[in-house]
Amino acid sequence: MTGEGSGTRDEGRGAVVDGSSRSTPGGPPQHHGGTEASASHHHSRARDTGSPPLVPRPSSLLPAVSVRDLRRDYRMGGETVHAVRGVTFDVVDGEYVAVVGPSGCGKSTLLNLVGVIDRPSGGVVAVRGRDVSTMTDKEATLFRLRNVGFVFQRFYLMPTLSARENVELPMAEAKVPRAERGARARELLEYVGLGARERHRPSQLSGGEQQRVAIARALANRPALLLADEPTGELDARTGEEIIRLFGRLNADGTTIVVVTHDEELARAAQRVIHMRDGEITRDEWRVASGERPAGGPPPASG
Amino acid sequence: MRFALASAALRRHAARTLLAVFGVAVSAALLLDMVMLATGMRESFREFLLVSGFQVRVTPKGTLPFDSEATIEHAGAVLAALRAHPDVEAVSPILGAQVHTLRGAHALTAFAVGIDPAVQGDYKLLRGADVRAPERIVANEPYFQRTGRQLGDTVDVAAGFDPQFRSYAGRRALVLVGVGQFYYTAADQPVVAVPLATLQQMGGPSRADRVSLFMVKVRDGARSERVRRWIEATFPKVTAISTETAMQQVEERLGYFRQLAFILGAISLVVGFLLVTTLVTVSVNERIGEIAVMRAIGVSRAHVVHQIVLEAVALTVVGTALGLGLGLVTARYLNAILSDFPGLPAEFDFFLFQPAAAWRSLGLLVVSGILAGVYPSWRAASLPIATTLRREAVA
Repeated sequence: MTGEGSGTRDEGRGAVVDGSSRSTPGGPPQHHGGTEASASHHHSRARDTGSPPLVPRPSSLLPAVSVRDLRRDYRMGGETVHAVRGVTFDVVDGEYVAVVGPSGCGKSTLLNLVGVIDRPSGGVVAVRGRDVSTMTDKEATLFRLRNVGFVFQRFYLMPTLSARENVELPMAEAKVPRAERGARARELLEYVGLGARERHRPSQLSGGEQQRVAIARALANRPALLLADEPTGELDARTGEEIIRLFGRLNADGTTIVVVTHDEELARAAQRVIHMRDGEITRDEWRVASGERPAGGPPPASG
Repeated sequence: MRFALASAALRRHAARTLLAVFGVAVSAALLLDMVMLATGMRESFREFLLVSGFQVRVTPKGTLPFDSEATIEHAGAVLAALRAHPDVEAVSPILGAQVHTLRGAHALTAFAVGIDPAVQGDYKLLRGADVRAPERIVANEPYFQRTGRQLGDTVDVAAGFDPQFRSYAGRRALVLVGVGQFYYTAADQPVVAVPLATLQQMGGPSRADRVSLFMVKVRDGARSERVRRWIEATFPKVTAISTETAMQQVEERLGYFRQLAFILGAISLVVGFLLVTTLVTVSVNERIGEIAVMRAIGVSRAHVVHQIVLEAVALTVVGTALGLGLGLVTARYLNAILSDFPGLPAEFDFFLFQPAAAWRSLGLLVVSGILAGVYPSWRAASLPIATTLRREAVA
């Protein structure tokens, strides 16, 4: 993983990584690094129960995300705005990456491009080795459904559905049988600590609870990648910490996370921080060594 | 899930949804009423003409039935010739005249038809007996009400009145034997039926062997138009009008009403369409962020389109169902008002519910509801996700 074109210093490890740093000795931890034991443990659990894991597990040696010379230009008021300018980096399976930078630096645009809800003006985005930048709308929709989980700053839950129904929505779209998706939705809500509130509507939940429902929804179809855009932006400090801990636990359980944030606490919790300014990566730093990655308890077995 | 989301979206603003449903219901009711009016008058007139099964009317040359006092001479011979035609099943001779029922110094003027009770097609006997004997008379309810007479009473009836001498001519004592419902006269008009020969005799020499009208029933399988042409060719002093000819004339005269009904019906259809489009568009605009998020988490365009079209269809179907009831009630009310119009036969309906036409028009409204949902749904499903989310966040 690297911010190519801008050699970056791995502050957490005191090492400089370059464009080939994914295979560089002393580079950033591969997914199975710090959580290998627990991940193996969970894999064993999954095999024992004959059920898939509740949260996704790294499944290949391919980068979870591979971005090459990515550009995104907008026409605004007759002028072209270069929101993302030739960005290159990789995210490996199980990594927890925070993208930080001032407002308007292009970090949300970058996240949208990685999440295939926006189209690049140039360059390539590959998720799990698959080029997603040239997909048709139908292919992109299906790809998002199966491979990407989104968490937004403003939660964006369906106000007319209960917490459980909100979590079921992506599964219903993926044609998961009703009983199965109900059971999984309950498990996911338990996982995010809202097992007792599954029947509540978003308006009956606090901001933090809504965001946890949104996280459960994002995990519904066991995505390869969890993308979050300012997930603590609408929350008070204490509630924000809960979400930060939840992200840490998710990552410890093997979920690959890319989060865009202004929240220093949230960025500090990530293993790696990509700094952006004016549409470019200015710094790509490792905050913690693999062995210090946030650890969470084992997730409940899925049904 | 689509049904749940569509239903929830409609319930989110219950008052607004209810108002829209009522709007569609009013639109559907108006459309139904216009269809009932456009087709109802024509069909009602056809039923009116065919109520007693006679397809051809024979009147004095250049006249319509009972629009003048003109009569057909040599009625007996004409009747015999008509009955002899192989395509003719029955012929009903009718003489129309005004008669006066005397009661002390007062007299009630009524319309009388002289008929052959064996083949008459002018009234339905509600109670009592028919006019099987010369001195018998059948009357309708308004006659009984205005004269205060009852079945079995003998009434003094005159066929003529000389205002100069204030004297009545052609007087007969007739026994009221039956109560009838007359098809072709106004509902509130007093009408009586007497045997044809009796009325001819009461009318004196000027009515002898004369009738105002022959009604001809054509045999099954025979063409009434052929019989009509034969009558006009054989009897130069008469006009023969078949039901088809009469219907053509009615069509021409009712064309204006039909056009009006068509235009009003089309307007109600457009209003219903615009109402649903507007409501669904407003609803979609309010939920644009939610829809963008649905798309972001992998919900397909087709799902979004289906869900929003379902909302439009639900509004239209519920509104149309309500409109069906509302339209029928309104039509009944309007029909009652119009039927009270002086001079109209009681049997004539302005609004006639014809299932095929009604379902067709209401089906059209439902189709318009579906189309009303297509535009906003496709617009919503086609919005750029990232841009929409960014705008929502800024908003």
